[in-house]
Amino acid sequence: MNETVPISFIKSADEIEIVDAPPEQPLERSAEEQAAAEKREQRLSKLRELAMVLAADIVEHQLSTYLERRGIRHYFGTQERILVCVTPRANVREMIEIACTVAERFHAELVVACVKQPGLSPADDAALEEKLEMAQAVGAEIQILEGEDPVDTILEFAKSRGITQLFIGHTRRSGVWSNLWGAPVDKLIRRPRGMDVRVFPQ
Amino acid sequence: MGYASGVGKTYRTLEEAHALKSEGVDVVIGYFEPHGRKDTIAKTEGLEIVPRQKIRYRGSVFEEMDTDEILARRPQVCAVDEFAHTNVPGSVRAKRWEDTEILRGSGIHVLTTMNIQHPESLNDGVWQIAGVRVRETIPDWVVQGADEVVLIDLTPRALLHRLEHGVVYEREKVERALQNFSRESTLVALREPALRETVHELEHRVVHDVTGPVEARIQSERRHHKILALVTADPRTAMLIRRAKRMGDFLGAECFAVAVHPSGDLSGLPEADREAVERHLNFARNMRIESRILEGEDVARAVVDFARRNQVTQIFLARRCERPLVPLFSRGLPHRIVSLAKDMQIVIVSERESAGE
Repeated sequence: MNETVPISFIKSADEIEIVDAPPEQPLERSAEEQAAAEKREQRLSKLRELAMVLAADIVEHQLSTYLERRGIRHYFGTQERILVCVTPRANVREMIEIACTVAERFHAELVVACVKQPGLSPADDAALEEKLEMAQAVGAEIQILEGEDPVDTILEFAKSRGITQLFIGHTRRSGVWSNLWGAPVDKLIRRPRGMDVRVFPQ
Repeated sequence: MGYASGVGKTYRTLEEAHALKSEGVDVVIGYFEPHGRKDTIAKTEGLEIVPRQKIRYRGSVFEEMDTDEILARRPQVCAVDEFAHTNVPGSVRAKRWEDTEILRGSGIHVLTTMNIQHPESLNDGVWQIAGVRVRETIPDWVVQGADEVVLIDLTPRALLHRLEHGVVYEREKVERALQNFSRESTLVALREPALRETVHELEHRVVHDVTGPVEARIQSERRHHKILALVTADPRTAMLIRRAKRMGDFLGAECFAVAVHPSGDLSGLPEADREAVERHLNFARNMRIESRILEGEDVARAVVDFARRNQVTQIFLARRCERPLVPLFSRGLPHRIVSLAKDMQIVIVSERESAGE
């Protein structure tokens, strides 16, 4: 494409409207016509999708601006927002794989967060680092949160971002992290309002 | 598909009908709802309309689409307005989409109109946005059965303008419309899911007939993911089933809906509970989810055993009402299932807040 428009221009538009049309589909078609037409239709279908996803993003932005102007800080679109909570020992690979699939299918936002704990062992620190890199590699937004209580910190952040799906790991071993995090799994199951909690096997 | 009444779905359908007719296709109007809109009524000119049937109910006469008459007429294409409409009691079928299925089943192509509030699985999302529980819903499998979904879009401002100038509704309906689905904030908020849902419908259709890398991955995921939703008498079960089904549809996963009772049927349950569980199981069946009643004293164990036997990978549970004074050690069902099923993902589904509250 030589003739392009900066995406920032489109995103700053006051209004956007989709003019949608399906590919021309004759009621009857021969087998050869069918094969050629299908290929073309798939390409067109992808373009329709792209146009609608772009419009949906702009409309979503409009909605949040609209609400902000009226002093409403409340997420109430049907857009899904996923938050994956990372701990040093969590099976982050599986969590991120599923999160990516869900995010892709729902066109959802994907955030990966951890709570910085003072006094982490160098090994745990390195493990955490590695896991965050994994998240970065798939293009997730990374958030390193700080707070006294990991559960409160996560939930506060989730609320502020209108998270709809919270992904957490199950702890299998005991020790410091099970005290800090094993019990938190229970709290994270019990406490959040307005979002689904997905507990992953470890 | 549109995000609200008045975006121009009927008008566009009629345009499509005219275009088909000019190409020599035998097209009729099976049902048309004018809503007092002059330009839409004018658009029916030159198109054959199959007369409606009259149905007497409680001393009044109602008009419904005459499915038998359309079948006898056998057009190639039939335009049917308001897909989600509920027929008046006394009609052969309860819902217009069921009539439409009959038409499709006999080889008649159908052009029809619906809004984003109508697919069953979006019911909670719409409630959250509009604060209204939509009763006229269409099972998702019916919508997915469409060959093509076209989005009819219009900016909320333009729609409100139409509404205020009486283009959309007859005068007396305007006030009511402005209060519910047509408040500006609601319109702005409903538009996004309409766009995203249409994208999902498009993706769903492309996936079927290709074998590219993405499609191959979806195929393999279909084998990977299996979802189980636990059915109880809890009123949140309907929401839970919708959420599980939606996740299943998006991931291409099979779904089960499972209730557990000591006797394996529901005898011995209080009448109200049994009625609720049966209603929820029926609801799941209507959404084409395989439904079972398991025998077991221990709900958590019965569910997890069943899940393991059937290679379920995700168990969906509804978050219970929180009783503040329950001591920490008496953990609820979600905790028991989480600790029994350490090899599966457990999703605890929560009601989202509604804008109407």
